Amino acid sequence: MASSIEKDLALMEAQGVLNGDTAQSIRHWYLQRQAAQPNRLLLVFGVLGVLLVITGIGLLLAHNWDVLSKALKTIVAVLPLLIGQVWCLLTLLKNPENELQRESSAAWLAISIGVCISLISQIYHIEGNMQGFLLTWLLAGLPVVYLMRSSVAGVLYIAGAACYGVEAGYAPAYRQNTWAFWLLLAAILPWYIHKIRTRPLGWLTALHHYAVVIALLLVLGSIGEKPGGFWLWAGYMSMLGLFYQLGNYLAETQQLPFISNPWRIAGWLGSALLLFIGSFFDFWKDFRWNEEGEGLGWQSVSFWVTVILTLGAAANLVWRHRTLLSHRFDPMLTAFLAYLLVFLLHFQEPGIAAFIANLYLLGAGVLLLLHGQQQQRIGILNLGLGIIAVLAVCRFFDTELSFILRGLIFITVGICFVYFNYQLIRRKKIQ
Amino acid sequence: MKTRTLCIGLLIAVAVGHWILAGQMVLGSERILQKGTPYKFRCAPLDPEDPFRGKFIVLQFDAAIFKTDTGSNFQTGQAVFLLLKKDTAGFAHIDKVSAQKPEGNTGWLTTSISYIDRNKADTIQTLHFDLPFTRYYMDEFDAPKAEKEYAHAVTDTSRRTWAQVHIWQGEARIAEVFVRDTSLRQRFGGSK
Repeated sequence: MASSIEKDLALMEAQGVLNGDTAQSIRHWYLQRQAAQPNRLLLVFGVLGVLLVITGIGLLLAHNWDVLSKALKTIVAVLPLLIGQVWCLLTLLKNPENELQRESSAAWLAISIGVCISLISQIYHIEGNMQGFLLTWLLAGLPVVYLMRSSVAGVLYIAGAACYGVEAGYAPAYRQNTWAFWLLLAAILPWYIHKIRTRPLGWLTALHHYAVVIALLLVLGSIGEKPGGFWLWAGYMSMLGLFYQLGNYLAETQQLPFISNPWRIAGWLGSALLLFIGSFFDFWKDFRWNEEGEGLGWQSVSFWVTVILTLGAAANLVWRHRTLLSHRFDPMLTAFLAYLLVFLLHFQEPGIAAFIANLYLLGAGVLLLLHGQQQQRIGILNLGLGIIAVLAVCRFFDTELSFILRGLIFITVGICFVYFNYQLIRRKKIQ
Repeated sequence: MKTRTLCIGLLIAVAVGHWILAGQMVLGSERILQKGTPYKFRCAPLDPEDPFRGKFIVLQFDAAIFKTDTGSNFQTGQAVFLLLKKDTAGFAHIDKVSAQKPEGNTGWLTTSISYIDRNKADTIQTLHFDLPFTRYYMDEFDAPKAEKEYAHAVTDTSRRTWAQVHIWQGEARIAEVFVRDTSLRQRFGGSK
């Protein structure tokens, strides 16, 4: 039990707020909870230690000890793999429920597969390429995740798949592969869903969330091609809309804390960022200039992926928020629809497209400000003011506005910051 | 209990899979080195701007290019088969480039076209290949010295810097790199 809680309990007992029996029940509750949770620190440092040791061994062997014969070098190269396999086997036989053993042995085995492949390639000067190496490593390591029920191996797998997706997806055309990453991600999906269901608030589950979000953000762009790759701007926005919806769902159903919910963070920040970029007229003007000669790319993969993502996000929005009117309106939930409108408009009227983006952002800021004021939540109020302030800064860089106008906008936003915060704090104090 | 037994059984099967993967790499390489025909590939000067990458020597070869007429329908990235011949000094050169796999176990190499140059008149195209033996790994502390020695030697007009490569069924493995006819490993100590 944390010492601060113990101190508070002792103080409340001394002041007669709690009687002895109640204080003891509370102490017992905390002790029981602690016993039920694995020792998190031990797990973190234990697994970190194992990862560092196996990586260090790999580096040591990569020195390429020329005094050793090829046969001996080969034996030394496969030794970490053998150790990992035996360790995993012993863990399953003797300590299958010991989380530290499972995670450590699985992490060792997962890394040692890559070390073994690299060292044999070095001994025999096997050329290969990064794509092939990563794919082999991932396919060999995937079963370890499921058999050892290892979250660390799962996170390493997702990170490895993201590296593969970037390496293969953004490669030159003749060796590009834009589809294998999605199959690799699908292969780890059952494990990921299992983690969300069984340990929704676990820190390792949160790491999985971060790994998947980053992987998707990095790799989606690899399917862009000429002509038609520009559709992915709208595709990304729709994907971020889906992220935000998923983040809200996890927050509502599992009470997932903010910091453990990268779906919500990425969805909100990414949507806002794309809208802010879209609020610049010059952006759409240059966008059109780059597109001309490319054709509209109706038959491109990028276009159809964008259509699927947008329809998916819209369908989910309607399904999950069927009683939207009775809920508080969240402007970021529909941001992807506004962006789609802006994107479609830019083909003919880039000026109007930018104007609508500005209008939407201003509306979002004002709505959040009013909601924060109404609910007396300083965080939401300042979020709304923050959007308005960033919008003002963006317009500062627009050369069409005069200095006087820019100055007035800044002064207005500044006054609003002070006024609304002061009002809210004063109202809270009175209550 | 049944699930645990199944997991253990599957783990053993996966471990066997890992050993098959490692075994294929080792035994496959040994087969090429034992059964393959040794070829001498003359080394070409390195681009002096290339930084030293890691603890290996980057090798370039004269045989990595082949001139042909623009009538042949080759594309960048295309997998091709290089049919090899030896010159009077015993060094390997490309005799022919084919899109079809040749017969027999030796005398040909599998690779891909990295890029194609065309002359101004667009009558001759130069095919550049990604040869699968451009890295030679050495002891971490010997590699920088060997790389300097190698870089200096390839500019030698007598051109006695070459790599011995064993080729079997289209696959290649570097056996040794020779600088001024002396093996790099022997020059810098260490065993085979």
